[in-house]
Amino acid sequence: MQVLKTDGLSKRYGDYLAVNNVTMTINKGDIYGFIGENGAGKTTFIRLVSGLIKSNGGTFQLFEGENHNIGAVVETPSLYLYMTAMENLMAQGKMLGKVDVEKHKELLTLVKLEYLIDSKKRAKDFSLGMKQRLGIAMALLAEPKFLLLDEPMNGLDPEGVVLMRNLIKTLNEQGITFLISSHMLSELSKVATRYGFIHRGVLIKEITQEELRQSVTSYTVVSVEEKDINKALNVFKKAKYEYKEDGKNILVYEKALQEIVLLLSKNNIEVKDILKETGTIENYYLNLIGGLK
Amino acid sequence: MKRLLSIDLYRYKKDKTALIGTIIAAGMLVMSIFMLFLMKSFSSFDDETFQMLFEPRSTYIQNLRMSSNAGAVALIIVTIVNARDFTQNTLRLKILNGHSRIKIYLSALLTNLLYGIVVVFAYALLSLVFETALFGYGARFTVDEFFSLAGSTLMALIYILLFISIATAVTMRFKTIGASIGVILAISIGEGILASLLAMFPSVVENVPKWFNNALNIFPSIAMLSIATANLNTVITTIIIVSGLLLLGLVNFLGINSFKNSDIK
Repeated sequence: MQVLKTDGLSKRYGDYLAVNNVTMTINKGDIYGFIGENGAGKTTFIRLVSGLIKSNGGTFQLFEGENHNIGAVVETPSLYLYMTAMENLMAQGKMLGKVDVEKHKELLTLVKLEYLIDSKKRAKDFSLGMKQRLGIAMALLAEPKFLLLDEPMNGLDPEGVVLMRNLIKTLNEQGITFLISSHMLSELSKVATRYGFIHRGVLIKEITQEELRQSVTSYTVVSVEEKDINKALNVFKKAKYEYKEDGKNILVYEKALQEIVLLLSKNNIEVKDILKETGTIENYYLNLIGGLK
Repeated sequence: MKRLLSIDLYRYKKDKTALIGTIIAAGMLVMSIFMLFLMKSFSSFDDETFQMLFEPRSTYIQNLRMSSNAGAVALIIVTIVNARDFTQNTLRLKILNGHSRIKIYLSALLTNLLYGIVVVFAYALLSLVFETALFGYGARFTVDEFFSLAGSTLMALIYILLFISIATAVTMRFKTIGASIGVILAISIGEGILASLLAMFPSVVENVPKWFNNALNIFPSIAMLSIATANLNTVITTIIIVSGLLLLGLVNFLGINSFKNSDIK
C-alpha cells in the first residue's frame, strides 16, 4: 500500500520555490529518510503533506484515499507548555474524543517518560529530548499509521539519540510507516530503509538502503615514499585498479587492504601508511549535490 | 466541534493567564467599589448628588464597553490565550487530528466569546449590584426599567461579540501575541478617534442633516454612548442593531476566510 504519493507537489514563497515539483512515493512499512541541507525544503514538504500549508501546485494522496490517522512532529514539538505531560496527553485525548488515562501512562512508558506520570513539572521545563518524545507520545495517541518526524534527533544528547532511534525501530515493527527528515545523515542511516534526497526544493534522488549501501564507495588511502609514487601508480594501472592520486597519497577504491599491501610489496614498494576509509552517506550526498559549497 | 470546544475550554482552564486576567478584573472591581465607598464616606455630597454623578444604570452599560476595565482585560486575555495556540504550535494538533479549519476557528471564537462575556458581564453586574447597594438605583426599578435595561444589555452584547470576534480574527491572522494586541489596539483607538472626529462635525459645520448624527451610531464607541445615556429612538436602535450585526458578520467572514487560506507554522 502506498502511504503517501505526491505528484508534482510545489510550494512557492514569493519568488522562492521551496518545494519544486516533488513526486514521491512512500510505501507501507518504510522508514523513509528525507535528506537535505538546511533550507532544502524538507520541513516545507512535511508541512504540505500534513495539511498545515497549502500547495501552489501538484497533488498528494495519503493511504490511497483510505481514511487513516497521521501524526507529525514538525520542528518544535506541539506541546501545551503550561501543562504537565499527563495534561498534554489529556488535551490530545480530548481533541481525539478518547480520554484514557491508562493509555496515556502506557504511552509515556513507551517513550521512556514514565517518571513524568505523576510529575507536576510543566512541559516548558522539559529538555528538548523530553519534549520530542512527549510530542511523539501525543502523536501516537491518535494511533497513526504514518508518522512524520522533522529533525527528531536535533539537539538530543547521545542517550536521547539512542532512545529516539530505538523508539522509531520499535514503532516501525508495530506497523507505523515513517517519514523522517534529517541532516544528521549517519544517524538517519541507522534506521532508514529508503531515502529521498532533496536539494533546493527538488527531489534529486530516491534510493533504497540496499542500493545506497552498494553506491557508497569505500576506498583505501595508501601512503608511499615520494620517489615511489609514480611506480605505485603504474602498478595500480597495470592491475586495473580504480585509483586517484591525492597529493602525497593514492586513493584506491573497492579493494581489500591486504590485497593492496601484497601487490605493492611484490613490486618492492614500501608502504609508509595505509588506512581503510569506509564510504559514508555524507559523501554520497555531497557527490549527489556536486560537492561542498 | 464538541471535541474542539472541549480542548479549547480545557486550555482556558489550564492556562494561568485566563485565571490571572479574571483576578485582575476582580481586583479592579473591588478597587473601584472601594474608591466609591471612600468618596461616599468622606465627601459632603448627599445620596441624590451621588446618584447623579454615578448613575448605576449608566455605569453598568459603560462597564459593558470593551474599553472598560473588564473589557480591556478580556480582550488582552483572549488574545494571549488564542495566540498561544499558534506560538506553542498546538494549533497544528487540531489540523493533524483532522478537524476542519472552519470548525477550529468557530471553536476558538465560541470559547473566546464565552470567556469575554462571562468576565465583562460579571464585572458589570457586580458593579451594578454594589453601586446600587451603596447609592441606590436612582430611578424606581420597575418592570419597564428592567426591560429597558435588558434591551440595552442585549445591544451592548452585540459590541462585546464584535470586539471579541475582532480579537479572534486578528489573532488567527497575525498568530503572535504582540502583533495581535498591537493591531487590536490600533483598531480600537482608530475607531474611537475617527468616531470622535466625525461626532465633532455638527458643532463646527452648520446645517448638518439629522441622518448624519443618527448614522454616527454605526461606530461602536458612539453606539455604546447612545446606549449608556439611553439616547435611543427607533431609528438609532435599528442602526445600532443592524450595523452591529453586519459588522459582526463581516469580521467573522473575513476572519474565517483568512484563516482557511493561511499557512500554519
